[in-house]
Amino acid sequence: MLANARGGGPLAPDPLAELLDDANAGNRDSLGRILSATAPAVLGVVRVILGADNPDVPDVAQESLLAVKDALRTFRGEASLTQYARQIAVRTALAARRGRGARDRLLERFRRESASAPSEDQAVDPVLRARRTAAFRTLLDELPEEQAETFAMRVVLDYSLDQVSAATGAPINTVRSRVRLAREKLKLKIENDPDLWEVLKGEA
Amino acid sequence: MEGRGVTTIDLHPEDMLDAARRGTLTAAAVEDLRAHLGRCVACRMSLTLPDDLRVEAAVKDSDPLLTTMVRGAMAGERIAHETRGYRARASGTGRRVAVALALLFVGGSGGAAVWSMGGATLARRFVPEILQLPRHREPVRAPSAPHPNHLAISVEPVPAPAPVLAPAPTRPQRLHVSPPALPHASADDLFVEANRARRAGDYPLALRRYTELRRSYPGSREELTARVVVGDLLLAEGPTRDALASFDSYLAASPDGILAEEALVGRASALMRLGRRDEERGAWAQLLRLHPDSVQGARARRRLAELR
Repeated sequence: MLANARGGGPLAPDPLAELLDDANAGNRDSLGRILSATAPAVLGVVRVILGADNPDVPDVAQESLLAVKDALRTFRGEASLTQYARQIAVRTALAARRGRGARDRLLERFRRESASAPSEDQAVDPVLRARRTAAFRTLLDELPEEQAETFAMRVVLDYSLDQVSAATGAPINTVRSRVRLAREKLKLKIENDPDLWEVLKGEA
Repeated sequence: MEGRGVTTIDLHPEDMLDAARRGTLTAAAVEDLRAHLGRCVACRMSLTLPDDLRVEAAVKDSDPLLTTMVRGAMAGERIAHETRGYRARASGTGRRVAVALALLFVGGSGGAAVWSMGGATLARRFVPEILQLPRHREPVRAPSAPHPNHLAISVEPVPAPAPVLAPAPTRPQRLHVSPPALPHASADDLFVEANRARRAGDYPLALRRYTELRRSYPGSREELTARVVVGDLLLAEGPTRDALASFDSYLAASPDGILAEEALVGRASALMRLGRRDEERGAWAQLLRLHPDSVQGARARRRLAELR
């Protein structure tokens, strides 16, 4: 039985996992169905971590799906195949982000600085949303690798502490510590960004 | 989960946040968490981030990149994905953009043509997101991510807006074919068409439409708005002097216009890049004087302090 995405409740059997044996045995139809079904989730994660307009999205999305394909043989059924693919996408995209960090940071900085006019409803204002997500992405660049991965799983995949622990193999207290440190850095980042601070303090 | 009197010592109550998202917090714990969220901007932002990111993660079934990804994975290799706007051609592109924008400003259609030769990619990467927001939002399918129960407490309800997606990109044209003029188009038609083309990443067409708008309806509301749009674009990648000229032209024509605040910010930013400190100081001061509640107020004050 699979663990639910949050809360650990039971889930129905994963229909994709039922294709896994065939795919691993060389059945290309099954492999294609698995890859087609997981590709949107992979692309979504890559866009979130790199930024939707990042020119590296196509390459990194492909790298991620290739990594998913390569990892199918090691899938142990502890999560759904789609979740597994998303975890792989998080790691691949974070690695790519580190490798291509300087260019991304320039782009994010520009976006953050270019966002301006507030709307009446700040919660759904796309500009403010872009500012928050840009701050999140630049934070990923600044965090140590383990903290970035943990925090991304927590925020992007919306994993519980237990799930992050299972996915990363780190003890739960280590996960807790990594998230706490990441959150502290996020707090500092917000406090040192007057524009972001002004926006967020109003949300209290 | 029971309330436990969260204090400032409990920096970030991860378990309570988890329980809140599962809807298993007791009333007392809800109060504790609410109090913490009132103090902690990082936790507050963390709670809204999944919703923010979910919007960005939305993927259309028809996204051509999905096909490329699956094809590449099946073949065991990466396949070049030609998408307008994704891949910048570094060599010479900046120069082409600069020349194109300069031509645009003298009103020639040649600007669009030169722009297109570089694949119109650099500007796509640097156009402020604020300028890329479509007016017509399309429903799209979110990835099959498990999205949990949302907070069972009234922290900051964030209704997920319709995802913002550009239309599916098409194969880029290497040589520009002049798009048909719209002889009977209204100012609104041209503006909508220009914005639609810009959102789709078709910058040659967008520039052509903005130019037509400028020629056909100078001083119209749409044309004035386009001056700020083009100014922002130039500020991002084009010649800063032309960006400044674009903002100035808006402010001269519409000093109390709805985009005056944004134009002032753009003007100050352009002056900063040009190193014209005295004028920059005046521009930030003007922004604060005319728009004391500007969201860029903190930035303006910071720069003014630096310029002292």
